[in-house]
Amino acid sequence: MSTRLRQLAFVLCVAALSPAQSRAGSAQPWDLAAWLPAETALLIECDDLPGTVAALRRVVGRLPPRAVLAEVALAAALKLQSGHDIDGLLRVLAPSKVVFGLALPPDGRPLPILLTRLHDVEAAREIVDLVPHIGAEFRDGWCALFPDPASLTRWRQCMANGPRMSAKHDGRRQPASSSTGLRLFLDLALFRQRRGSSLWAALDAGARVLVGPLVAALDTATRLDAEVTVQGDAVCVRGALDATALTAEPQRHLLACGATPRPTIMVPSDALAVVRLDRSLHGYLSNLDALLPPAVAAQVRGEAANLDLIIGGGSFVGELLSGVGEPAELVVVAAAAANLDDDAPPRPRVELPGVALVVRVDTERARELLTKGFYRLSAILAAQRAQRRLPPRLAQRLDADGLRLHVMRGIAFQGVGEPPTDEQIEATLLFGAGHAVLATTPACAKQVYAALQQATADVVVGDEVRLFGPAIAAALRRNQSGLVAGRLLDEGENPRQAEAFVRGLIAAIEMAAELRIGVVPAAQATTFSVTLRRAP
Amino acid sequence: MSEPSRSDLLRPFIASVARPFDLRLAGHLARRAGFGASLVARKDWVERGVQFALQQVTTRRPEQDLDPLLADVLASDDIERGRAYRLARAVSNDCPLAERVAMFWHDHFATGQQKVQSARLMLRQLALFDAQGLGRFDDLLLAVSRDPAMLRWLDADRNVKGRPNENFARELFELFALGRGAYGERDVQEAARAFTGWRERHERFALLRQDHDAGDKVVLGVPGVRGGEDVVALAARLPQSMQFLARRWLQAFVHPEPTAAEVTALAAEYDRQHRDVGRTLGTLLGSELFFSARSYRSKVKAPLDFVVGLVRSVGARAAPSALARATSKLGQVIFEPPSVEGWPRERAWLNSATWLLRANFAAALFGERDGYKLRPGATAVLADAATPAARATLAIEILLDGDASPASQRAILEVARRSDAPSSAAAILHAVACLPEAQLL
Repeated sequence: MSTRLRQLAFVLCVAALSPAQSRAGSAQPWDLAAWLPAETALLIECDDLPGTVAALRRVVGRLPPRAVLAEVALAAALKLQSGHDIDGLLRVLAPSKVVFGLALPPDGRPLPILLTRLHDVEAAREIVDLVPHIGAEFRDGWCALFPDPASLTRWRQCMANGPRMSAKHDGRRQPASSSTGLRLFLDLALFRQRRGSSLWAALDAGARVLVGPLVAALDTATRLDAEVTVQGDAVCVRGALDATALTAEPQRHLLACGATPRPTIMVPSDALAVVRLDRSLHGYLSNLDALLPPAVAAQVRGEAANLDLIIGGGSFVGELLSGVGEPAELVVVAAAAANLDDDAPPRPRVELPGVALVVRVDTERARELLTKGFYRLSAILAAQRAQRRLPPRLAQRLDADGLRLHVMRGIAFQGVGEPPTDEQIEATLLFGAGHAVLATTPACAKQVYAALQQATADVVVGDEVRLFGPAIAAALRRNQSGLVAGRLLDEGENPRQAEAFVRGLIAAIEMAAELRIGVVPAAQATTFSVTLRRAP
Repeated sequence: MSEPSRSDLLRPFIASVARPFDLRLAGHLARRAGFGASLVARKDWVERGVQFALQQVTTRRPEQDLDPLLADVLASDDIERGRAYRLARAVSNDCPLAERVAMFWHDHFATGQQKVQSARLMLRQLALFDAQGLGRFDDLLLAVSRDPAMLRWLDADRNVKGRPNENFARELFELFALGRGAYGERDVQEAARAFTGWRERHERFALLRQDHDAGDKVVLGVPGVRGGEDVVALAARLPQSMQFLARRWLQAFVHPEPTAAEVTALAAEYDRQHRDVGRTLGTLLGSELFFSARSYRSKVKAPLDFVVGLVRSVGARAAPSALARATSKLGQVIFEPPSVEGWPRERAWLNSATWLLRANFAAALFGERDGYKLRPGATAVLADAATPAARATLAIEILLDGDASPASQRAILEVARRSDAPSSAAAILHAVACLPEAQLL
């Protein structure tokens, strides 16, 4: 972090450490137009920073560590040699309200602005004077801080030359109703104007399927508003875009259900993640010319034609996709428990979680084509494995626990030492409870099938991604060496650094009982939410 | 019986006032015996003397950090991870000669993933060079002959009794042990019979008795040869093998075109050391010949030397996977030698296009772009130098042991003077890395 950013961070740290201020001051109306230029594209308002940090800390536990913040503040105070003790600094700089703005002036260089409401303006002036290279403007009990004097000059020019805060911010001057009082505003129209091209144009074919509807909304919305709330053990960011993919052409074809609620399957008990994207592969492949550039559309169409061959001459789109109930759900579950018998074959060093794709099957024809395609695919993969001098894994029927599974299984690994990671993948197809489950292992398929049999009244609208921290942390902990290897090879860290990073990462993930991300298209808007619930 | 005396060409280098073991020679040793060393290490060597420096580069310490990593890379069975692993070893090992020699044998016994089709086997072949590369050549040659990757590479599965495939036998004589002219076609045919039935099965060596021709063969004029082991032992003991290997080592460590006298001297030393590679190379690296003016900067850096050398010279770490991609981009794809003869050498590495690629790599590395993640970064590397002139001098010391032509020094000083302070360190180091001197090993 640069020295200047550290200096700004210091101010925020001091603010965060201060005793909670009266909310009365924060409730006072204030004039954004006096401080922020019209080109302000990003605005983060916090009415009560100490209160916000305290509320967030209740959810995320020891993060951010108060002791570290205290050390930062103390060290900074000593470095500044301001003559103030830490309490004095807190009294001077502790703001009741903090606003961060990012302006995008026409010169193309972003202009960051940090506004704080001061308690002792004169003392604050003395302290700021001691910080080299920082820009500051004091007025009406407020202070605007800039990373350098040149930014201050640019800000003054912006404020003098053009109209100030436009009407887009009006109506947002009152304190937030939430317990945190933290709000975010993004001027998407201005970002788009500065960027000069649409996000959609920058996406490749795969990304258009995955995030196309959200990007369509981002490409046409003028603003994004969001608010942070803390409720019990959860912190949630909720927001809205004033545009929707429901009416966006051609992206609306990517949606399978749109704003209509749809039932979901029960989340398996040992799930690491569930991904429920409201996507229609049928809609995508039926509208390739509208959704993709001509050359890419032709390429995808060619690949789709190959799929026709793989499923045995039927129509992948017209018969198979038409015969299943999109959207599919993706479920990731923990790997099956290891067999610890002495005579058990060696297990791969890295334990892959099971991944399953689940989709409702509506027609017998679709079921037939899925099965045929599975067997033909195994023959193709066997040929590819043969080129790598690996033994084939041919699809075979397997009856187990009253279920009939189709499994791509080969001979057991006979090489030296631990088997390669991909040896544990045994692609499996299972039909049951009106669904098809395509999984990476028979165990995973059976786990998901068990969940399918559980009745649930849960419904979902739009996209939903759920990540379960403790289960993910446990899986990562069992495979730490693989993560450490990644840090060593991709980051150039030494083993000690890599291990420390991985331990920290796992600890952080373990703290979150669940991270849930949702994106819901509605008639006029797209709402989104990110909820982090703390583990007990 | 007394041992034969060592050739005068290989007499130990003794530092003197006239020829001190200075930063230039410390850098020469660091580059040739390994892939370079930090300025701190090189200065330490100069301070403690040439014997200490030789000990530092030739002593195999207990493997530190990276051996456990091999298991994870093997598990991935991913050749790109394998390349990154080798780069990680090259950058962060502290047994430079073992690493250098492993890559030498990879070039010598050139085996390619494109045909082997197994990252695990390729990695294990390199691990074999790590473990045995500095041992007796006889043992190494036999181990390589039975190495699963080599068996795949040279079509062992087609070498059956009654229909011998000559690929391995031919390369054994021509490229691995003897060199052209030291054997005849009949020797190849007979040797191929001896290797029939040698197979790779489930990542291991296996002898399939039903495919093996157990009859007597006459190889290199010696009757009664039965199996491949006999051929290997026979080839490794021949004087032609000693001459052949001596020439290869001299080309790799001393000069691209060794003289006949130099080859004879090193071959004799190799024989004297009972065909122990480590001891032979130890003698060579400590010799007057190695530190001679004829040897100094007489070779062109291969991409691996250039890429790893820059990182090690500045005493930094970097992302091995990105460095591996850079090495490949510069033309040296680890695990993919272009032919059974290995990689091109010397001037073949440098032309206007590859020089530009090297310059771009250095710019990205020091400019902290393209994911190289150099730590510490360029600014920290030159932090001790306060003025442009001091920064220029320090950069030349770090990357060129302070040995640059007056014209190069002027050019670097000019770069240092016109660069803005925040970006000057990266610009200066980049400029030094682009100098002609920086392309020489």
